[in-house]
Amino acid sequence: MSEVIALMEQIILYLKYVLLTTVPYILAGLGMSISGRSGIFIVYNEGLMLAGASATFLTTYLTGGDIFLGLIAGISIGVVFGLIMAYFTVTLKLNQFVIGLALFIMGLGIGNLMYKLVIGVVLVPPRIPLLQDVYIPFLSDIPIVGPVLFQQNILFYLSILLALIIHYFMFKTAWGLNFRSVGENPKVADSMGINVFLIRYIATVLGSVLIALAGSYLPLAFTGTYTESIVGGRGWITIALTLFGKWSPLLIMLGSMIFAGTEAFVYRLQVAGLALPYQFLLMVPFLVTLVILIQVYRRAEMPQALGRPYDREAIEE
Amino acid sequence: MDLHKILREIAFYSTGITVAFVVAGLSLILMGHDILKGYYTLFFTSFSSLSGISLTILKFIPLLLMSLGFAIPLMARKYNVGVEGQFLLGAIGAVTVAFSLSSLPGPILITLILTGGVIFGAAWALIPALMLYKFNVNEIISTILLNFISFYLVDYIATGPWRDVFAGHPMTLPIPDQGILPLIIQNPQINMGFILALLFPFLAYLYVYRTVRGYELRAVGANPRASMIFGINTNYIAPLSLIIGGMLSGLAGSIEVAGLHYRLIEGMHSNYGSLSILIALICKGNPIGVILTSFFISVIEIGASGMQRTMGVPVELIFIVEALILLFILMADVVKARKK
Repeated sequence: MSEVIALMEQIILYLKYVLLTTVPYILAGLGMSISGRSGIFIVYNEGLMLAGASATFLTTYLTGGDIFLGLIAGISIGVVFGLIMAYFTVTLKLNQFVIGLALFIMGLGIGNLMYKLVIGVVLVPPRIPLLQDVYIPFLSDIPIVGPVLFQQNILFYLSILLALIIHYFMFKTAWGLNFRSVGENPKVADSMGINVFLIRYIATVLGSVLIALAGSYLPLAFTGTYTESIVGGRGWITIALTLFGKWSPLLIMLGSMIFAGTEAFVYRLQVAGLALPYQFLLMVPFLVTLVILIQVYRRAEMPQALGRPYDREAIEE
Repeated sequence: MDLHKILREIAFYSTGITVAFVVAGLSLILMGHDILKGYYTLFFTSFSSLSGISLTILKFIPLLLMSLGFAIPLMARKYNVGVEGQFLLGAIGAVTVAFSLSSLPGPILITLILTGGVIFGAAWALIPALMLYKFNVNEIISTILLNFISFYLVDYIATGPWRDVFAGHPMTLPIPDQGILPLIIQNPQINMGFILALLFPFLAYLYVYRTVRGYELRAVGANPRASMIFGINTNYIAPLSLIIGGMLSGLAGSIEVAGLHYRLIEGMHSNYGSLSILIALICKGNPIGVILTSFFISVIEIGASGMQRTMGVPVELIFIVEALILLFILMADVVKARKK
């Protein structure tokens, strides 16, 4: 009997951990979904998440542990990146991949530069407090489900709520229909009186804010410190998860959970001392993502006008 | 191209570059540093000593080859972000050949080491190329994911049977002496890799602008639909360009092993990947432009380390400026197009 209880506790811990690690994928995936549905393909996740992590870490550290201000700093970085991306790709109509790669590199530089300027090179890295778990009254008392779902940190609840809200907005409201039409056929949207440029600006900025928040989450939920490798490929993996989720919030959330589950399982195996060299275990998430990609592209479903600038004067293709 | 047009081109490029360095200067002032000393260190560290020249060339070789590795697929509008991983696989190929055939005489061993690098780099690029060819998988994501896998592969090999147990960092033992690239100039020290690397922009130029395959490559990049209608088999052109990119980056990796480190070291890819992407995008993939831009970036990279060493300015500042150069040049392009 006691063995069964111990196993149950293991499973609860595992599931709780999986959901904890799902949050950055969901937040960044939602960001990609919002901007992508308006026609802007963001590829700078990895860089922006690092900049967001750095901004949040430093602000929280400098204010003596004020996590709220830290999150504001992360959001601000997201706004700046979103505005730059929108200006270059919507107003100047430049190639989204090229600008995205430039911003990816810039994000890496900004994240590390800020940290070096404020903290410098030190032997013992400074720490910030981690996000506390928030117990939802009554619900958190339910056996099994309670500890897994309702004893998580505030950003976990926020990410789930956002996924639901954004999904509802996109697919159940007239506004959402207009919004999606900008990413499917901007010419038609424009002729219906929808301001294509404005919507793409807003979507790119909102999307970037969510991606930056995904970065902010990393020092707050996992490490309490900042390192150059804190994002560790999550930004790129998110792109694959978004494609897998067909740019739809709920599917992205589901895909993120499955992926985070696999990832956590692999780390468990590593702890359990599997005979495979650890480098190969660490490769598994990336290999899994590659396989996902092949499956996704077999039945590629994307917003029709994704990645293409909208030019009012252009002749119909 | 007439002179007026060339001058115009230069004027727009230099404006973009100048604005980026003005931003660098302003940041130096904000950080409380001497701006003139900063600029001087940035631009002249490379030329102030023989070792400076040698270090600049050693940086220039991989950057040149890898930015070409990005530039050629760029002609077909493919973004080979995997140059970093292909470079590392090239390095793995080099040490594998060097340790397995260590009894061979110098010239043969060196040839095989470099060939090993090319083959390993090409094989690594073959994966995204096949994914693109068969399933139309976006090459940016597939090549980036393979970069991460290559980091772990390097770590695995650097801690494997060839490991240098006395080194504090994961790295292999040095390759046999006769496998090391000979120097062509003693002072400053410049090895054979320099000449070898310089050949490739010209070969690339001939390939892209003077052969049928190169013409097809550019046609697919400019207008895939029209190319298909006019009978170019468009399906294999872009994947093939990725493999060529992998060969060039793999060669860079093997030259790095045989000419600089003499071993495989975890993290030896440094920031070459990002820099070579920036270089290729700055000169829009032009193979000859790649030579100048790679050299310029090598000079300011050496300058940036100089600034960090002598003035305490983090190298990341210049890294950001390099990304800004690209953004400002693209902006200048838009202005140029509007003024026509």
